Amino acid sequence: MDDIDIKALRRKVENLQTLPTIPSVLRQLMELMENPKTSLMQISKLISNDPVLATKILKMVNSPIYGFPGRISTVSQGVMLLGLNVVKGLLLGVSVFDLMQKSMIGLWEHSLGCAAAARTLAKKKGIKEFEEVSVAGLLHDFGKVILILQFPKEYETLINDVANKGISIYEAERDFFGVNHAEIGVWMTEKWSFPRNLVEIIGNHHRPGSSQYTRVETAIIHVSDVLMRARGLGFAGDPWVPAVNQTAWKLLDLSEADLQEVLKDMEVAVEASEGLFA
Amino acid sequence: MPKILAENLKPGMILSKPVTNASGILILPEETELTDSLIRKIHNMDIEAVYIKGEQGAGSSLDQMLVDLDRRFSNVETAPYMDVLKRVVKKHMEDLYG
Ligand SMILES: [Fe+2]
Ligand SMILES: [Fe+2]
Repeated sequence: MDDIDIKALRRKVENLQTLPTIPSVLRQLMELMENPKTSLMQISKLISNDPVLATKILKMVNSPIYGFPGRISTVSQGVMLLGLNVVKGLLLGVSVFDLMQKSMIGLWEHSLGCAAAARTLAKKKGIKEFEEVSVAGLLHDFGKVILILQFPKEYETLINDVANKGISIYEAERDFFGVNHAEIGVWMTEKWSFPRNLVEIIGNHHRPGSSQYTRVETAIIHVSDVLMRARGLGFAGDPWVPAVNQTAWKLLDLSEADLQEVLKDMEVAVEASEGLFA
Repeated sequence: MPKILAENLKPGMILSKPVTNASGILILPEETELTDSLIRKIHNMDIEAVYIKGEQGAGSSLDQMLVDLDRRFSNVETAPYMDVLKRVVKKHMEDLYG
């Protein structure tokens, strides 16, 4: 696709909220997030109008992945502890959960596993805002959800193709759409006023060397992604483990024991979170 | 060996570690096959999660998992550091399902 087609594609995916398959609460959330001045009060009000969503978000913040077991009982308390941006990311992740489950079976588990692994890795690397890194793990493949929602038939064909040809979904997206899910993730997270760091991590999770402000964080999401694919947890569009980026690998400097620990923690966190939405 | 939340237990699952109560008293020994009434017992004792052997159901034996692992890595066997990653994951699978 040439430049003009990519502009048209961008306009199309940025108008995601007009799709009839988007539930109204998610549409309202997307509209709220577009405004960078949106306050905690407005977000809380939206959630309290939807008890199902409120329950899910509270279960998520109290789960081992976000590490406040049983301590957060109201949404505004969660925002105070985790920060507005983390809660926004969680809300988005949680409210597209049903869509994810219908459109790409296994992407939720893949994302959840990455969130859990990223949390452990961020703590190991002494990152203070490890909750934000974890949210980046939850949302890193968000662009795939967008592509599937906008182009369900085409994306399904791509998924079948890559499994047969032995190529990655990332390459196939580029060939077919002219952009990949990481770039689409950037369009959307910018549109929804997510912080610069989160946008950079999502945009570079397949080329971690390109990050400027978040080198370690991007490396963490990259390695978490490779690790989840190696572990075979969930499904992310193709059945292959991608080669790990050497710069990212060296930057994190993890021992085999570190990696074992990340996998073990992840297993427990994902297991405990799977019951959340049952 | 996966730890399964009490609410997700199903009859036929086999314990890979003994279940004890809060004071450490043995309630169910290792290798116990769970039944509806044992699961109710676990629920009534307010036990959060227990260790279960393998994965529930057929088709997920360790051997099959290791075959799948080889297939997933087939394009990147010789890429830098992928041998380390594969070794780590293999060990993890053996701990989990062995
Ligand atoms: Fe990705
Ligand atoms: Fe991914």
